[in-house]
Amino acid sequence: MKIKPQIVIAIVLVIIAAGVGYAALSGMWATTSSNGNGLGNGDGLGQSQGIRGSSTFAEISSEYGIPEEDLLTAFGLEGEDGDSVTCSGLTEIYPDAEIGTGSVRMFVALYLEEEYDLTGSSNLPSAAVQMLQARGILTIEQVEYLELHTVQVL
Amino acid sequence: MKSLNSPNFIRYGVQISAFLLISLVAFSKYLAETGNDILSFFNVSLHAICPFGGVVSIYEMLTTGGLVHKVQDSSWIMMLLVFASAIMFGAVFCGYICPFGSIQEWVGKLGKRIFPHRFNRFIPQKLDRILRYLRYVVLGLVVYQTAVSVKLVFQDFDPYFALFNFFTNEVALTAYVILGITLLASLFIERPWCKYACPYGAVLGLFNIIHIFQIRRNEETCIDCGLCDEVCPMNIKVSQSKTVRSHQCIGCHQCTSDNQCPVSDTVFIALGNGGTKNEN
Repeated sequence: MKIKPQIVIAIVLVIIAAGVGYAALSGMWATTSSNGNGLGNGDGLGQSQGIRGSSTFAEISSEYGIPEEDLLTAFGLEGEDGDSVTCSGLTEIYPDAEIGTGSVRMFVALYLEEEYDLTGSSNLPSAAVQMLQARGILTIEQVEYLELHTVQVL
Repeated sequence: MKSLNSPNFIRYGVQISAFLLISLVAFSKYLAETGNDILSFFNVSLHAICPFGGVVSIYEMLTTGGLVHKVQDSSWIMMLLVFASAIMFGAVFCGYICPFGSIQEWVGKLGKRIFPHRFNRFIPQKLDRILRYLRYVVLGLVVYQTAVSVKLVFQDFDPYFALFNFFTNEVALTAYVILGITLLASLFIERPWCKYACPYGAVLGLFNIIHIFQIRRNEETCIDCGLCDEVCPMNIKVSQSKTVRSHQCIGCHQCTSDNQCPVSDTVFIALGNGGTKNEN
């Protein structure tokens, strides 16, 4: 049985489109981290991985139950409005300091005592690290990691 | 003038559509990350729709039931769907859909104009033959390092990620350098990344050995003009094969009688021998 190239690519596109459609309808098509939905368990890490660059501190506070003042203090932004501070905005506030969305995810994960991948390159401001240490919840491994990922910010 | 439903027009259409779609996804994600969530329909990470993410997560999935950091369930599903298409037709994903293969091909068109006789023939055959297996080394390294670290280690070297995220601060310098080298090399060699380094192409290439619908050449009607060899972007000697099973074939179908082969029904895609007397 012969088949034309046009038919081949049509079948391939149908396989992909139908597969994605079926996965979406059956709830398996998860494009963000989830906790138990779909085939796997997201990325194996905690809920903080769902924080996006566009997430505001007010949203994070509401979503994860962390006081907004703690978030603002940790990132050296006391007095700012949590509704106007976004995770991605941190990279503009602290250029060249590797403080951004990843930092907020790390802070939230450690604050909530979630499992966190300690191989990233994100940094935390010293105020955030002090706050976490004061809570007495960090493991030795996390303390050692943070020693290398703390930056002094003004 | 070729009709709009000719295989080449359709292939270019699919390539351009896939390239635009991935560009849109990447740019939408960037907009969302910067607080401008205006294209939320496409607001997914490139990692979430990359089928290679599923491949590098296989070890993690088998051992812990989870996925590698940044990889999502959707990557796993994409991997299975592309594998399904590869079992039927081989590495067609590379030849028609992969946007990084497409951009190399488009740069290569410029290379063909600059070096009309030498394009795609710069590498000595002996060296080329050895280098063709390099992508399996890359695949092994990537899968091993990902399994050990449970992170997308390849992102820092991935020219595909660099191409579609060049405007973000997520791209490592190494990835930019590899992207630059690949695009520059595309002026001399057709699809250099696909030939020598792509770990995903290496995986899909394995399906060429077993896929159901094969590219076949009818020796009885073949006039040995060698045009099929000329037009093959991967330098496969189609004219010396009865069935194209090369792990390098990207399933672009340029060699077929529906495309470049001048004799009808001589190089074709078929289940079984396609009604000819050819044996494998």
